[in-house]
Amino acid sequence: MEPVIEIRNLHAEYRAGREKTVALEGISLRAYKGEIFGFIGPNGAGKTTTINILLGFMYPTNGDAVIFGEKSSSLKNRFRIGYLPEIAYYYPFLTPFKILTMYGKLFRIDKTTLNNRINSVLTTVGLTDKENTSIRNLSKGMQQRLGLAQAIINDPEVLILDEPNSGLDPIGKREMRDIILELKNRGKTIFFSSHELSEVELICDRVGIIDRGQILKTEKLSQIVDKIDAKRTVLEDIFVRTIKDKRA
Amino acid sequence: MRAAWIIAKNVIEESIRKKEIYVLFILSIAMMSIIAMASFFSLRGLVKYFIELSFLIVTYITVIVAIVVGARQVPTELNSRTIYPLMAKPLKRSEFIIGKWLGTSIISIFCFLVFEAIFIILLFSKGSSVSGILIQGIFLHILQLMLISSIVICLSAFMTNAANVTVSILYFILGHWIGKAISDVLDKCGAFLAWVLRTLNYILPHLDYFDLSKKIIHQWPPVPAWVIITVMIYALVYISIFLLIGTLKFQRRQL
Repeated sequence: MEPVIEIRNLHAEYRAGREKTVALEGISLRAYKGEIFGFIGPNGAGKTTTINILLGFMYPTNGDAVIFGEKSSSLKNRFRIGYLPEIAYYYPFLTPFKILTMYGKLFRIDKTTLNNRINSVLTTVGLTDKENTSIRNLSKGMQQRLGLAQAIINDPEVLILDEPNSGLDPIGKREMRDIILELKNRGKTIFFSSHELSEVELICDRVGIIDRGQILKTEKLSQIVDKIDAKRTVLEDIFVRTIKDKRA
Repeated sequence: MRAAWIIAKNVIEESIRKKEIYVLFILSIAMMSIIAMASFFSLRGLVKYFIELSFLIVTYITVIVAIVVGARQVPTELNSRTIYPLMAKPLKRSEFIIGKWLGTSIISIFCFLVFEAIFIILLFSKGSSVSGILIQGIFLHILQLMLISSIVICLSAFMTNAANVTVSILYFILGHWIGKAISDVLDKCGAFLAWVLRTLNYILPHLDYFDLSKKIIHQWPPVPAWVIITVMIYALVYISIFLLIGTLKFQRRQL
């Protein structure tokens, strides 16, 4: 099967003055069409750096990040990608309707289609009654829902979600999970990073574990889960063990 | 260009929501009104005085609007991280920079035109009329605002908001004197410094080319059209250069 997302031998480093920090040390991974790929790792492991390179926010020092067979951050690809940042970063002076209109126009969606799509995504994320409320007056959870709304405004084929459950209460998390599964059922490819391993365990088809800029494991979730005690089937156990083994 | 226009509209919307422009608006209108009222105290020959001061106020205030609005564009997007969802959309970095410049230019030009409308109304109330040189002066100041906006947006790709405001205001003040100041000191400096100053003289845009205020005050006849066209080309070349530098810097930047 052809991968939708392919990362090949990706290296990245940060420079702060003379100091150089290696963020990625030649990672490689693939995400296939229609799957949910969970990208997990401790803080500072390189998850956000990888996502930043995928989206063209950062440039790698070596290696490639490819989506649909071409440079991941190409303009053509951005029409097919949706991105949800970890924390809601939206213009506080706008309303959900206005910001979705602005983003939708960047995708060159015509006015009638865009209005219908805005109604549809606001219904999906449960923000219909807040469409004209200033973003600064929305709760953190609502802003995260708005983040998902803007990520799917273009009906993307690939969704890149950075900690999608950040700031959500248990009900919000459940709803987010349902939306992600619904998107998967519609054939979308979803790449998401998360700290919440229980969530990853519930929805992912495959996971990649990253630590200190290196991929330690990339496997189907079912294969990982089969290897551990059925009564305490938690991805967390595998995750912690993998990290500790590597660091030992 | 459509994407740049979307960014420009967002700059305009943001500026409308901020209070600073309203404060500058009220302040300038109040100052112009006070100057206009001076004639009520039976002082004669105040039209020139009114034109001079009002034009000065309007020029400075609108340049400050361009600098304040433009300087925060890139740093604020980076600090508040609103740039992440934005740049994940089909938007080129060059379109982002052009959109920010366009929005900043429109806001400052809009403020200028409103001030000028008030200025002209007050001018009529004093029995004076709109001269050809005034229209030319208005046009050149619009070009100047576009040029200053491009400088500020270019610098905002390199430096913080505060540093940009400081450098831009200094440049605006020096830019009006740069040609004269350099030619005055050239004879008194060594060969190397003279070369540096001459180079600066050629490289940096001369803002005094856009200033017709003295001619407006003394009600000169309009300057020939070719002069205005030349200055317009001069401004457009510099605007393109500054936007290109800003874009190149921003394109290389890790977000």
